[in-house]
Parts: sequence; structure tokens; C-alpha cells
Amino acid sequence: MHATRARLKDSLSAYVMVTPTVLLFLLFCVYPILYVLRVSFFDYNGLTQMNWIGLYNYSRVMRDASWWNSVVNTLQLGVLVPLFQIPVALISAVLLNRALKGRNFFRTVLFLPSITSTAIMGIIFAFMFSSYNGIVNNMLMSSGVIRAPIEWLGKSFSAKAVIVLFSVWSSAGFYMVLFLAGLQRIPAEIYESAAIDGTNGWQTLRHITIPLLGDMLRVIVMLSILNAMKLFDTVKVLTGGGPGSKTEVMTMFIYKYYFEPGSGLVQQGYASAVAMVGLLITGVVAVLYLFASRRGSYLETRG
Amino acid sequence: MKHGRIRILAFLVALLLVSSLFPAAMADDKPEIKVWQRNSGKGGPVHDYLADFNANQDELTAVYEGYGENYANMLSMALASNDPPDIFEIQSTMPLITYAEAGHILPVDDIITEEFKAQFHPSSFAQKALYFDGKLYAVPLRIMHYKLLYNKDLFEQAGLDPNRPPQTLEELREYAKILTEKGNGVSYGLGFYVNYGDIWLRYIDTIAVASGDTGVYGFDYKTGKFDFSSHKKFFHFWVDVYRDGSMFPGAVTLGVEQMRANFAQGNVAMMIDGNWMTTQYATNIPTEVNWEAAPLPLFEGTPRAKDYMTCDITFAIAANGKNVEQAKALYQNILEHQMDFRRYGEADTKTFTAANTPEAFALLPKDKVFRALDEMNNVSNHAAFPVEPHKFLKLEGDNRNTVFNNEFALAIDGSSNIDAAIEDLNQRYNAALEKAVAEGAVTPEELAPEGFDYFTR
Repeated sequence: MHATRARLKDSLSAYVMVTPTVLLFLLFCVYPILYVLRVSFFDYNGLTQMNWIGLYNYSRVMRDASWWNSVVNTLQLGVLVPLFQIPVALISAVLLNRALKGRNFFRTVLFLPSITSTAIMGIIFAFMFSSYNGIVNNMLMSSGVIRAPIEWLGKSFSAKAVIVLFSVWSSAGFYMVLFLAGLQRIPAEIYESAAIDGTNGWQTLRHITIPLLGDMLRVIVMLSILNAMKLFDTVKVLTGGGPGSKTEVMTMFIYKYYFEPGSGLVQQGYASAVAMVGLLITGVVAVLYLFASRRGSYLETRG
Repeated sequence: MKHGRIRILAFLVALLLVSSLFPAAMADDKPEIKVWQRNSGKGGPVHDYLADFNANQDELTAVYEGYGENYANMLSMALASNDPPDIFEIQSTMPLITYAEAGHILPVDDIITEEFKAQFHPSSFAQKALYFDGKLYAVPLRIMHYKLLYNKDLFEQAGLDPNRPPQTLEELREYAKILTEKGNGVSYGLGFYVNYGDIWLRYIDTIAVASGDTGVYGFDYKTGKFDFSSHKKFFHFWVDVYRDGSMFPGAVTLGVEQMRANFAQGNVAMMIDGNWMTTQYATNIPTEVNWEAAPLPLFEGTPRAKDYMTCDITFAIAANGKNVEQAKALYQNILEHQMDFRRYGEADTKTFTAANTPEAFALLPKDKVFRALDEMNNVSNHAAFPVEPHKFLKLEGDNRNTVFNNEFALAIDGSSNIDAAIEDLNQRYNAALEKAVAEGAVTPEELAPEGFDYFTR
């Protein structure tokens, strides 16, 4: 009896503590999603009356080639950004986990971009890669590598490469800190015994560090993928989706129809349907990743 | 004694609290009329005019608020929460008809008498976009049109006559080559800015209209259909100029603001831009550059039809404002005092014709240099289209601007398929047009007016 009451008290305090978060989640996440879901069945411009059009917006999404172009761009970023970001973050974390001189300085330097405004960094990157008087072009020209300025942001491939570079640079520090937290959980004795066994740096990383990071690594990779798929400000500031719409991502596509069509009318109903499809795609990617990575998880397969 | 002090203190605190709740009421009891405008900078002519207006009368207080890029969203929120500004600006990307249909704005027929109308440029009242259900909902303040802006110093430096801008597109291409060559990698012949939604309105539509080919967005008022095929020759022309190497580097990635900044720094010799740049280059982007404006060049041998102009940036009166009558009075006052905006440095072409006279321009501040005033305000060969059908469409798929931006980026690599893109645009724009007609947004008579002529319209 006494134990039950104590348990009840425990769970009551847990509920009390969790309530504000749940309320905020319902208000700012669940409610907007339900609202957007509702609007997606209407022809609506945000001002005049909503007209019910059933699944028309969804059938339109399916045949909208420019939407699928932005989906492909988003998926490309979802693969390319983590592909470079995770190794950079992991290697930095491993290096800066050692007793290096100036370790805190380097940790701070790498982390700094994570706390700087993306818009400002994006503008600086755009200046750096500008065709006219851009630092990158000027350096390459003065060292004789190129003769005429390159339009870095004017070609589909190089524009995407700059977006990936920017994303890796701007958030690798954040993931490095997460990795550092994970690395500090790994007991030093394991490394010591490995050293006695004569393992080299690569072997230690491959057979000890990565497997023992386990779930931490899984979460970090998933965060990296999902954040790359949610990119908006970076692309908007760096390329504006250009050249043309070659670097347009899902979030920008939705924004365009919801707020700034450029010409013609705002189409909030269609933008909402697109947003729901985008949510589904991101969700499917997350589930697929979790499913795939669970199979390969060190802890689950071995322990 | 002690209790007495506490009481006095409590009374003072209560008084402070109550007075903080009603600051305006305590200050004065004039009704406040909120005026909202899209304005990225601080102040500006409307702000300055209203400040003087407040100082010179006791009937009401005009409260000016300017919002930048998020203006449309701020306005939507204010309207949705039923707390609208009394008077607010409506821009061409925010069609007036939707605000009227939603009941957010009031018709202004009752304050615009025939006598008052006679003082305005006729196009001010001709555009369908200003009407809903047969009623006039707003009167525009500004006439917008486009000219070729050119740097006279760079012309002179390149051995070209600074008083003879290119008359034809062929000449423009030739001049751009010379100007680029003589610019030695510092200045370039032509400013082109694909990363800006409206570039094709400026670099294709305006020229197609003046050539008598179509209206804007390839709309043909003779057939009542969209036909983007007239765009093709202009598209190829600009691709050729790019391939000549005569465009300022970054044509595919830059927006209009960056190009303006480079024009103001003397790095760009020619560019097409709006007539309001006379004001901008004197106030917001002050420049030492000695520039002039010229009519848009056409292909050699093309007879000139009427040039394009529009006047759809306007103010409207909120239907749910708190002081509708005072708002109407202020609205009327702003309309008829457009001349006074000159005092605050606005050199744009106005709809109130008295504001476009030499006497009115003489009011412009003397401490600023307003260039190309005559040409930038020359609308002698201009007329607005009563209906610009692309503004009434719910288009499916990419709009013309995005499609042409994509094709331009592909064309400079030699892989564009402009014919297929144009065919697709024609099909989608005409399908959306049919829907707009079916929904009653536009009528067949408006789309193909009887006896329509691009030269006499």
C-alpha cells in the first residue's frame, strides 16, 4: 500500500514536470501540423474563404516536377552533408579528446560557427564565393590556378558543393561536442589495454571508438541527416535556390508557395499539402535510417 | 502616521499603474490612424509627410509604421487577428482583389469624385486590379516603368558618345562588348541579375510590349491567350550577350540590389531598372556616378508601340479600422498632396499629375543630386494594360520567372531546351487562365478587347 502510494507520488511528479513540455509540444507542434493537414484539403490563399477540394492538392503534388526536383536536391544534401560532416566531427573529437596543448582553444574555435547566425555566415560565404571580387576567385587567380573568375554559385554542381561545405563547416563543431561527450564515457582502460596490444590509431578508431560510441553515433548521424534535410536559411541566403531552381530544397519550395510566390497568387492550400508530403518523406527517411542502423548497432548485435 | 505614508505610496503606485495603461488617452485624445507601408529603411517620404501633417493639424494623429521583407506576413497577421492598420500599402505581389473579397478593405468610390479623378493620370483608374465587384478599392500613388540606365563616364572612357545611348538591341550588344573591353576587368558592359524574380519582366516583357509583340508574361490581347514564343528571340539575345562576356560577373547568381550597388560604384555601365531609381540613387544608395536614362532599345527596324507602365502599388483603407472616417480623410489628403512628397526627396513619377510638373520637381531637396529626372519621368509614350492576366492565376508548377531562370542557367552551358519550356509554359498558363475565366476572376472581353492595338492602346 505504502509502496503503491510512493509510486503514484513519483509518477505524479513526473507528470507535473512533463506537462509544460507536452502542452508546448501540443500547441506549437501538434496543433500547427493538424491545422496544415486541414488546410491541405482546401483551395486557400490565406485571406479569402477556404474552398474544399478534397485530395486535389495531393494529386497535384504527385505530378509537380519542380517539387520532386526539390525533393531530390534535399535527399542529395541529406546524404552528402552527413557523409562529410560526421567524419570531420568524429576525427576532430578524437583529436581534441587527447591531452593536446591548446585543446580548449581548438574546441572553442570549431564550436564557434554553431553559435553564429547562419544568415550572417551565409552572406560571408556568398561574398567569399562571389564571381566578382570574391576571395576564393581572387586567391585562385593570383596563384595562377584559374584565369577567369568562376561562377561558383552559378553552376548546379559547384553551388551544391558550396552548400555542403558551408553546412559541414557550420555544424561540425556542434556534432564534435556531442562526440566528445560520447568519447568521455568510454573507459580509458580499454584504450590502455589496446595500446599494450599494439593497436595503431586507425585500429583503435575502427574497433574501439566507433563501436563503443554505439547509440550516440546513431543519434548524431540521424540528427545530421535530418538537419541537412531541413536546411532552409543556408540555401536561401547562399543561393536562393539558384541557379534557377537547381539548389531549391523542400523547405524553400513550401515557403515559396505559402508566403512568396514571386508572381501570381499565394497558394497556402497547396503549400500545406506539399508540407505534409515533405513531412512524410522526412519521416520515412528517419524510420529507414533507424531500422537500418539498428541492425548494424554494435551493442544490439553483440550484447 | 506610518499608515498614512503607506496609503500615499499605494495611491501613487496605483496612479502610475493606471496611467501606464492609458498613455495615449492621457497624452491627448485625438484619434490615431495607423499607416503601414513596406519600407526596409527608416523614415522615408510617407513617414516625413505624416510627421509634418501631424504638426500642422489637430484632428487626428497619423502613426507611421514601416516593415521590411516580412511586410505581407505582418499584414496578414494583423488582419487575421482583427487589429488592422487603418491605412495600409498593398503591393503588386499582394493582389488587392483578395483583400477586397475577404472584406478586409473598403471601397473608396465615395471619396473619389469625378472632379478629383480628373487630376490623376488616366491609367491610375484603368487597371482592373484596383476593382472588386465593380467598386474602386484604391488609388495608386506611383507610376512604375523601366528605362535603360547608363554610366556616362564609362561611355566616355570607352570612347562612346555619352549623350548617345544605344538605340537598338544590336547596338546595346556592341556597346556592352566595347565597355567591357575598356573596363579592364573592373567595370563591365551590362548588369544582368537572374537571381531576382522580376528580371524577365524588365529584360523581356518591357521590350516585347514596346515592340508590339505581346503584353507582359507573353499575354496576347489579340487572341486572349498566353504565348511565350515571342520571348524566344529576346532570351537568345541575352544568352548571346552573356556568351560575349559582356555581363557583370555573377549574372546567374546576383540579385537586383547587388547589381544596383555595383552600378552605383561605377562597375556596371548599363542596366535596365525602374524609374524610382532616380530617388534611390539620390537617397538610399547615394552615388557619385554620372548616370543618365534612355528609352529601352528594341531590335533594329522594329516600330515602337506603346511602352509598358503600371501603377499598382497603392494604399487601401481597412474595413475594420477603429476610425474609418478619419482614415478616409487622411487617405484623401495623402492622395492630393503627392506634390508635397517632393519636399521629402521622392522623385518618382506620381499618379497625381500636378506632382510631375517642373514646379513640383523644383521642390526636391537641394542637398541631394537627382539624376535623369526628365527621362525617368517621361511617360509620354506609356500606357498601362487594364488587365494583366498573370496576376489573376493560380498557376500549377513553376512560374515563368523560375522556368526562364532555369533555362538561362542551362543555356549558358549550352543545354537549354527553350522550345519545350515555352510549350510547357503556354500549356500551363492557358490552363490556369481557363480556370480563372471559369471562376469569373477575368472575363473573355477583358482578355481580348475588341479592336485591341499595341500601338494605340
